[in-house]
Amino acid sequence: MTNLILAQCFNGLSLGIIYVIVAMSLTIVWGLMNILNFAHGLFFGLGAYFAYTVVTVTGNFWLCLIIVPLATGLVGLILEYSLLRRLYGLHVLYQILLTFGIALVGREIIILIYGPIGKSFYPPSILEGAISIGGILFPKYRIFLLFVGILLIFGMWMFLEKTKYGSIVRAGTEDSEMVSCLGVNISKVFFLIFGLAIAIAGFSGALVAPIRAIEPTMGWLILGICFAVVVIGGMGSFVGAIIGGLIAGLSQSLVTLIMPSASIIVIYLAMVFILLVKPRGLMGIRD
Amino acid sequence: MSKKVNRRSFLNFAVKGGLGLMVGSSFMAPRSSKAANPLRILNANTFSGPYAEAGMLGTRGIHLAVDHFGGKILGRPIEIIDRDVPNPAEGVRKATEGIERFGCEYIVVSPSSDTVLAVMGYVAKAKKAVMYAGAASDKITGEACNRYTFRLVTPCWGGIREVVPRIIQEYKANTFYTITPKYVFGEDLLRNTKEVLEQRGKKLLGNSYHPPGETEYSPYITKAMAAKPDCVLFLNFGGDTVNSLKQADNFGLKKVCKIGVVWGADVTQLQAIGARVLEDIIFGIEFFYKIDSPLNNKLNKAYREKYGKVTSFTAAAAYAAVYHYLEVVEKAGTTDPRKVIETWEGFETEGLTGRETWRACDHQCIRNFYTLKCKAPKDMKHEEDFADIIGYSKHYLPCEQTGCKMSW
Amino acid sequence: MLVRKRFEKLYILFEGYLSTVILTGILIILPFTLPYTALANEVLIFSLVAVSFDLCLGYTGIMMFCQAAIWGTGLYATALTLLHFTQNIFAAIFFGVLSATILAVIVGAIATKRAHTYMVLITMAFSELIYFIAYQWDDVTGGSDGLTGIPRPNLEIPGIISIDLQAQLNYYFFILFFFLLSFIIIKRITISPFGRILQGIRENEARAQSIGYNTRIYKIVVFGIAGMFMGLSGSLYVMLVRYAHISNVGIDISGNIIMMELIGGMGTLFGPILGAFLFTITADIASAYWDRWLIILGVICIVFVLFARGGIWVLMRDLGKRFFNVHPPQRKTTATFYGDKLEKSTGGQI
Repeated sequence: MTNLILAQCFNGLSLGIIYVIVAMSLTIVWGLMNILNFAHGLFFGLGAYFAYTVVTVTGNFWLCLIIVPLATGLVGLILEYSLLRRLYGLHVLYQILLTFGIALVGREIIILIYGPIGKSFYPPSILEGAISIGGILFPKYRIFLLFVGILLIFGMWMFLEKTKYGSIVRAGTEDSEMVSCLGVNISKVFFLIFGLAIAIAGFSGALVAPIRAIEPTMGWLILGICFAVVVIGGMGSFVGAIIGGLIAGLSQSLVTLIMPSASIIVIYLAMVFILLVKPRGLMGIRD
Repeated sequence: MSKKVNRRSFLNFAVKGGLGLMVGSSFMAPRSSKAANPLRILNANTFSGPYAEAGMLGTRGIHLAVDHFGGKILGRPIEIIDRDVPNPAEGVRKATEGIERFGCEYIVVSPSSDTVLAVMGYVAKAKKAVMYAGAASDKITGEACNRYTFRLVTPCWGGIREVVPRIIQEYKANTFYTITPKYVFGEDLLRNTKEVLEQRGKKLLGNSYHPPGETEYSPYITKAMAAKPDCVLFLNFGGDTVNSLKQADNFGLKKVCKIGVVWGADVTQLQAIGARVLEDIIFGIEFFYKIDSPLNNKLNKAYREKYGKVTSFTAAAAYAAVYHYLEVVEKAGTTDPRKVIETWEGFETEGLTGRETWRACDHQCIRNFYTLKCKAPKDMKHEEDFADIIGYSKHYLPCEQTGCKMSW
Repeated sequence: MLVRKRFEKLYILFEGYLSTVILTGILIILPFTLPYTALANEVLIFSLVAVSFDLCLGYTGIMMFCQAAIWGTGLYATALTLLHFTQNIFAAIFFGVLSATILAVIVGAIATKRAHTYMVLITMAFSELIYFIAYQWDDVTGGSDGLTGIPRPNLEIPGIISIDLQAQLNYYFFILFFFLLSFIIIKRITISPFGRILQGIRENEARAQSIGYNTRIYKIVVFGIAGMFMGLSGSLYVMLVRYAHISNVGIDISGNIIMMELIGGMGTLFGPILGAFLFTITADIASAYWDRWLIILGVICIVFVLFARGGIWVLMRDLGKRFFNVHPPQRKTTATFYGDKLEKSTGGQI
């Protein structure tokens, strides 16, 4: 039994890492630009689909890890420039409606291009199979996922903490008006950061693609979970996203052992609980 | 002030009324008169959402069937009306439109049991059309049965009684573990599987339920592996099977025990899973293009000519649904629902699996269910040659036990 | 002086109701202009939800994702009443409305503890929770198979009246009766002092609070009122299709209702009716021609959010005003939200 729980903890961590990455990208957009991006899940799915295309065309998984974030990021930049920037400062309602509309159209366009049948591809052969440690099986791909995820998070931390641009982003998250007053071209910051966040979301979609069926509605589920994660961790807080994402992944995996269908609901309930008790989230810096 | 009120109210009226009447009358179709009227068949399938391919494939099958009759029946041209029914509410609405607006006399509904059940309820009340139920829930020819509905595909009870014994025999397995989706269809499969295993004296070591549409199967696979069964049975369906098999492969489940999938969907599903993962897995399935029967050979030829691929089950089922209806109408000499139903009850014909009968007590077609064994990639003769048929048989609940009571 | 004041008061009432009278006239003709009556029934039912949602969003500024959960609860309650307790149509509707209202008040009480974004997320979480319960509790709700064979009882008051509701047209007028009743009540609410306060909350909640209104209580009351009418709509719907399924409480339905509201026109009460009409008709026709018809709706949604926030209703009204040369159109929207003005002053930068 303990073996099972340990195995599940590992699975929960590898699942949680994905949540962390997507939640971090979501919290950047939400915290910095105050946009509740309902289309975030779409880019996750788009990343998976692009990965499928790259792997089918070139046969190289490593290549797609480079191409996909660039491609998805580009789409994000185009969207920000053409549509989203008209909505800054407006009531959150309009942002919800706009991004909701984008998510809807995006999903349908995916079906138009790729067809409604789910796609799939295999991870590269060195990552197939599992390693057995003490009787517990650890699939190699999930270890890889964990590893890449940690690298990415570390990279983002370095960017935010150690670079000048990162400090602008952090400042903007706290008070974007002030940053603008200080002479920074805040709309350029929004533009690039949005693109970056979307690229990260797409990248995580590509990471997940080999172990899941790639289908048009894959974005919605992760969207709901990541909203919850951001709320639990605290809007605008990156450490919060890490904690929240890992908690979400672990709880989902462990609750599945007891009552599978409740595994997602638990996360939503935790979100409501946090909203009522500690609305800033566990690590929140803003309301 | 009065002027503003009048203008505004006038606008109010003019625009709303005008729009309403304009839109409404623009597509007001004249009710079909009995003279030279086409036989309309409603093709209610999913054309959107996660099962959208079913719609595309089903439509192909229907068109092929109509083609084989030359596009006409009893001197009347045949018209097919395609409607998207992604959920039960849409199902009822489109069926209403089909019957009330177009005067459809035959409705083909698939692929989800809940939509089929919803439309069945409506059709039984409307009493104007005959319906084909394209889903496998036991209820359809059980407690929810009605006289206006016919079903081709084998329900859970029968399918399991072909596949599971075949798996036991083929794998020489004594202990099993099941992974089941927690919804009514999954429960049906599990219940039937348990009954068969008990009858054969085999042990079910445990079961894991997962929510349908689950994407993360690691906990269930780990649990299954921890139980160390001879064989793991996947009782899920469609996309869930694709996900779970892929992840099982990730974990290396095949090295530990055998794998069986009791309810395969279609050759497109096999494609999505991929030959490498499929190798050595046994699938239970309603139809496979390799079935050797006159009608299936005819269908295969036509399908390959038109679409360049092997026949998928979804297309074949839709084909049979319309083909046999047209056969019955020809025999009955009319499309009047009551006459058609009476002719269809007990109707025997050359179906896709060979000689098939439609029994009167529950309107179920008596036909074979098949078991496939998947090949190694190197043994595949062409890109769709995923498996070979290793067995088939017919199993149906005796009439008295179905719980079906029919009346007009 | 007094006479004039009374006259003006009467006129306001009259003006309000004249448009309702015209609306009634149109709705009476509606089923005869559509290709099949069941479509008109659906249009009417969704108009009712849309109008009640308008009370929340267009008048009070409450955005929510739990419309389907509330509507679906009314639906299931009525279904269960008809299947297990009684065939009395009024009892069935009553229980539907009651359960939906209770749920709405509970959700409202919890959601209104936070503002804006977080409130929306709480309603979303509740929607998922209700879906989960409906799914798990399949002994009662039928789970993913749903509940079949729900009857549509006839309208019977023993000794007085007996009307057959099985015919779609008869049922249409039954629904129409409830719709008009609800519409008039909601309209009356919006032009009352209570309604003015709601609009004040929408425009600037902080200010409303500073004047002394307990805005949270008002919001909870709005949840309750909207819940009542959404529940009513759900009850009527389940008797229309005679089938209840968990997809009825799914979030896509909430999304549809939001789109109806947006396209129709927020804060106008007539707009959402138009939105519901257009949405239902488009869904019906378009799905026959193009499987990807949802793209059209999504694009319309996007275009409207960017350029026509008042929806079609306001577009038409402004066009009409220009046409009739009444006075130049002033604002793009009827419902203005806090933050709308910011856009103009900062040029969209922040």
